[in-house]
Amino acid sequence: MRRLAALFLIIGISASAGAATRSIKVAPDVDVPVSVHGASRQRLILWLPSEHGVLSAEHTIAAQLAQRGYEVWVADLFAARFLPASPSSLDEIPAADVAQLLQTAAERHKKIYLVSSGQGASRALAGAQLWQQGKSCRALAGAVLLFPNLFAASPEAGEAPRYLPLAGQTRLSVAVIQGELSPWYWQLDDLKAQLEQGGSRVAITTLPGIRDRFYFREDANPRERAAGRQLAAAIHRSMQQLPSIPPGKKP
Amino acid sequence: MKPLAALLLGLTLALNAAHAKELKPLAPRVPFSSLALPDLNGKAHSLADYKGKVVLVNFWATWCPPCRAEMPSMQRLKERMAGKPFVILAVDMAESEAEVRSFLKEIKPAKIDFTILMDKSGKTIKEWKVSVFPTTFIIDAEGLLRYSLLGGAEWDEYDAVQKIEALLPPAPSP
Repeated sequence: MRRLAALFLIIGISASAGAATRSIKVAPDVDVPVSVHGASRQRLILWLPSEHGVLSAEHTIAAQLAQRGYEVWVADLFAARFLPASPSSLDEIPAADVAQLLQTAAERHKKIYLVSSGQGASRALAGAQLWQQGKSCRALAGAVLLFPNLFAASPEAGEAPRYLPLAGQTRLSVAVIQGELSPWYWQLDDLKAQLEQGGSRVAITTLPGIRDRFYFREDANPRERAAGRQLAAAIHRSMQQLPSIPPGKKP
Repeated sequence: MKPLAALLLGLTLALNAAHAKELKPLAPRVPFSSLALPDLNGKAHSLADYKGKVVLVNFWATWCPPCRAEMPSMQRLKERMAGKPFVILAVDMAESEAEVRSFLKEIKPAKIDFTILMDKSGKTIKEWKVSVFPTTFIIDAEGLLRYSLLGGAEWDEYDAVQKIEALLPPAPSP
């Protein structure tokens, strides 16, 4: 088991050259390897992996965000539980792992932002929801979700998509970044309505001429590669423009 | 070694067959909208124009690799069904005529001459609740939805051809 953990650590280190690495205990015998880019007590980004795992492109974006004054934690939730990166593995990651990462982050940082893409959005919201329970949680400033997939299951042809219940139960400032060349682009009104059911406030940025997974897809075209290079700036802008949650009931 | 290779080949073929995409039957119902859209040349089309024919409605886009991949097989299906009351309407998702024409040139020598409709506003995509590309529906000669399929397919393979032919209205007696 230790050899496997060491292997994951080596893989992580090679993928995140330039970042410091640390390990955060989220449960007995469960330590999340975290690559730390930059240093700031003011603003921390907790980047959670999607179903595609922790990607080298995400370390690059994290390093760019660090240059903008953020501390960025790229957390390998899969490695912590010795799971391969896949949609089904993502479902096996307890929300408590993310909640504990948020708790650890909140002990040292003033403002925390969650970032994830695809189905990783569900882990971000589930972790936020769990961590918020019974807290005033001012530290959690919001979440930036890249082409989020919050569907309960693959929609059937001609049927309205069903969303995960947590999409309508989380109270959070949310920024969605969605490429226009995606069937999901046409579902944005429904997604916003779902998220707002739980008291979230949602700002949407659409990227013309861009497909989902643009910053890491193998067949990315020049326009998508350019959007990938500008993604750190887009995330930074989205964080600055996160809608505020009106005063009301605590989550 | 040969029996092992044959076994592996058999297993692979069986797995492929198990994963082949098949048209999913739908409880017959009227379509979500009339599909009133212009084609590449600006000519207006509506499902009502095709009453008495089986209609394959395909939602696609030039940027979607499985959509591009299935287009030649859709053309072969059209050619196979020549002379029968069958028509293909491929609804392009919110792109320009220039983008679609450029794609049609790219895939030459495979000629695509079935009808391509332009849904520039995305209105039809919303009405038909398309959330995966490509998505295809088969409408029978009475104008009722009968099958759907999410993702790309080889349209001239047995399953699709057999199901579509079964929906064709009987030929008028001489």
